[in-house]
Amino acid sequence: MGLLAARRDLLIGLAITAALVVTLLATDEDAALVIGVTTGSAYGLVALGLVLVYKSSGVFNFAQGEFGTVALYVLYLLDFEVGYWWAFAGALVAAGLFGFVTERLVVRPLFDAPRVTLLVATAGVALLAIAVEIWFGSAQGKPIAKAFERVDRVTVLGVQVSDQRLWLIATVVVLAVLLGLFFTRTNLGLAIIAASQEPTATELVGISVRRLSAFTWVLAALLGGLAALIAVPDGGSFGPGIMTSTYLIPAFTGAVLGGMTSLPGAFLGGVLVGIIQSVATSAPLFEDIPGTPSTLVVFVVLLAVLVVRPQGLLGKRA
Amino acid sequence: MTRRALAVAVAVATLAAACGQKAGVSGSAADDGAADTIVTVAPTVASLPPASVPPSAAPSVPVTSPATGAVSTPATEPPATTTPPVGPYQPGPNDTAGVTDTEIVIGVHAPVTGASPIPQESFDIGKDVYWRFLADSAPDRLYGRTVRVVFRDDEFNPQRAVQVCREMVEQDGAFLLVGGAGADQITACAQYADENGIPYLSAGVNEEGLADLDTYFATTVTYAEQAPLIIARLQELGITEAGLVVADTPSFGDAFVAIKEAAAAAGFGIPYEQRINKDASPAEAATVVQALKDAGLGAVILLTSPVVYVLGLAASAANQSYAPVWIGPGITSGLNAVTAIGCPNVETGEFFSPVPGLDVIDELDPDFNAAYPTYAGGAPADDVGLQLWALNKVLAQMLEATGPELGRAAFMNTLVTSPGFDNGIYPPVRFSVDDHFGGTGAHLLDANCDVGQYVTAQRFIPVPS
Repeated sequence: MGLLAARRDLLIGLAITAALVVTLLATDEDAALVIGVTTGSAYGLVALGLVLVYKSSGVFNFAQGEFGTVALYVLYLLDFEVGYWWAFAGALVAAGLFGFVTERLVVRPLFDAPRVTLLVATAGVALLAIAVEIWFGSAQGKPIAKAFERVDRVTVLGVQVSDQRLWLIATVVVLAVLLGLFFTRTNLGLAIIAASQEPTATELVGISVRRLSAFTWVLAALLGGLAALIAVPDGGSFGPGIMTSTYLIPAFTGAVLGGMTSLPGAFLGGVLVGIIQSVATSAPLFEDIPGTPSTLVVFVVLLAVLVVRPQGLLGKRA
Repeated sequence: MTRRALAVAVAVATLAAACGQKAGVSGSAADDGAADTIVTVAPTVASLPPASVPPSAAPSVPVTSPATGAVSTPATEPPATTTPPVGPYQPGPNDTAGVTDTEIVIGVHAPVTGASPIPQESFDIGKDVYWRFLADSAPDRLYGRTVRVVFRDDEFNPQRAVQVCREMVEQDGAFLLVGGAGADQITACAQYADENGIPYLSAGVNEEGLADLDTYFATTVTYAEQAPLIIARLQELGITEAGLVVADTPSFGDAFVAIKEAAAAAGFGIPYEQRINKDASPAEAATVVQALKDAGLGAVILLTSPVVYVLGLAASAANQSYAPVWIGPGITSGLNAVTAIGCPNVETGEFFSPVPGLDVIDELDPDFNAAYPTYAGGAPADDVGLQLWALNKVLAQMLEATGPELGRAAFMNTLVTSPGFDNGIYPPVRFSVDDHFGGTGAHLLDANCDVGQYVTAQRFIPVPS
């Protein structure tokens, strides 16, 4: 039964993707398709972290973006001292450490509190992190280096896809698959799911729910860090709160669109948000919408999907 | 019962406080007859010839030719005459709020945090450097008064801007308000100032929402006024058509129309136009850039926040190996903070500015570089400091011209009846009773990533009258 449901969700995802691709190609919005995939992959990577925390603890983590921004600051600082890749590794460690500290100081003391309390607490962590970033490095933007400089190696449907973006897309696809397998095929993954659904029963069979929680938050923070370290340098600079202000809301939307319990769904949702934003900006159909149609259309689509499938495109019904 | 009585008492007290006159705020039109609202400009007053202005108002500020680069003479002696200037503004009960025999309080707001911040440290340092310099070099010029600047961060948020402007007036006792940057915030705060009879000055931004305000004064050319300059510059570069990308905020509506009208008048093509989200997402920015590239446009006329310009459009263009001339009006996109984080992607950027680049300032105002480190605690002179220096310098001329009997009405009467103000850095500033947009020209800045800052491409370009 479960296998059937999984295959049905996969088919739904594939059908939506195919329909979207055909529609965009048929309406001369092929550039929007490529731009949507390249920018939406960043949303998807942030969304992966959001879904990971939600699957394990039922919490919308508003601090997910700032796990990434903190990593950017560390990359910025260390890049001058130890070279790019060591700085990159150091930045990931910093993000993981931030996730660990958040779990220990904020999540764990509120472990038995209502989920809404935890939600507000994570928002507090994000605001605190932004304040510290401003205090530490001023509100001004800072330049940041890319790992890969070349931008014209690959051109798809007339749009250049930079090496940095190719790296991002590859990373998010691989991680979505690996994490999907992790949660369905490994004991640790299954234990995390069990802990989120039946914490008492999980404890009774000898699994430390609190230790699992720390693991999950560190993993989510690493995903947030990875998203920031790969996606943001493409813009050449960053500032305080950039991951929250630029990526968190589209990523949340993508996660809900894809289904808050599905890791491949998070990726698909993120990409869909990117495509919708791009199409709503370029397609003549939306020209007459006053204001900024890209924001409006994203939420109209989200609403439509939730009316038809409240669990999201690939999510499971509660 | 006691608790209920207390609640009623608190409610009554709150209501009473809300109805009462706040310190520094003029009464509204709904107040009694003694309220000090700005008198509507009557045709008879508006048509007063310059000769009706008392001698004290104008002659104290010499207007010099920008071509010579001469700076107005810093008067070390106050003008002999003390008659307040005549004009359409009538003093109200709070006319002299923020002014004592020894001090003038000026409130300044700008975004130093938020979505589009200007450098906080530079702003903090630069906001009163000119006033300190003036207090030392010409202590009598403001009739024995020194200027104290209070500053609030508006966080690039119009609601916050109104809140901080109110605080500066009601808590800090500001005599007048100055908007440092940010069109939406300036518009919001200027409307608050107008409702309360408080003079409000800023560099020129939009005209929509500001043109009808009695107490608002733009010291430099507005975005819309710069439209012909932009088109002329592109034609000078041999470019015949360009894309137009303007942030989708009501404040930029007049500039959007003005640029299209200027282009049409000059036979210049705008084959692609787009109102982009004020906080455009990476996907939106990339889509707009792709459309510009596909249209084969060699130039893009731009009016967005620096964040959208640098992080969104210029970065996306670089990823597409697309390097158009980015050109536009404004102040913030021409700040060196943009080149500091945006180079090399913004190498092809050119923006008009009320002040020239730091590369030529010694020729226009030798005092700036000489005095800045001394009065800025050793901090080096920068372009934000120059913007503030220039604004305060012209403001000092206005205060001086008003005379010793300083009040809000007298100050505004001076602005609208004086023949003009020239600080040697801005193109001359001229207001009239009917026109509070005082800018007459602009400088053109060109991004130079070799030196990591904007350099002056052209100086004192007059706007067509």
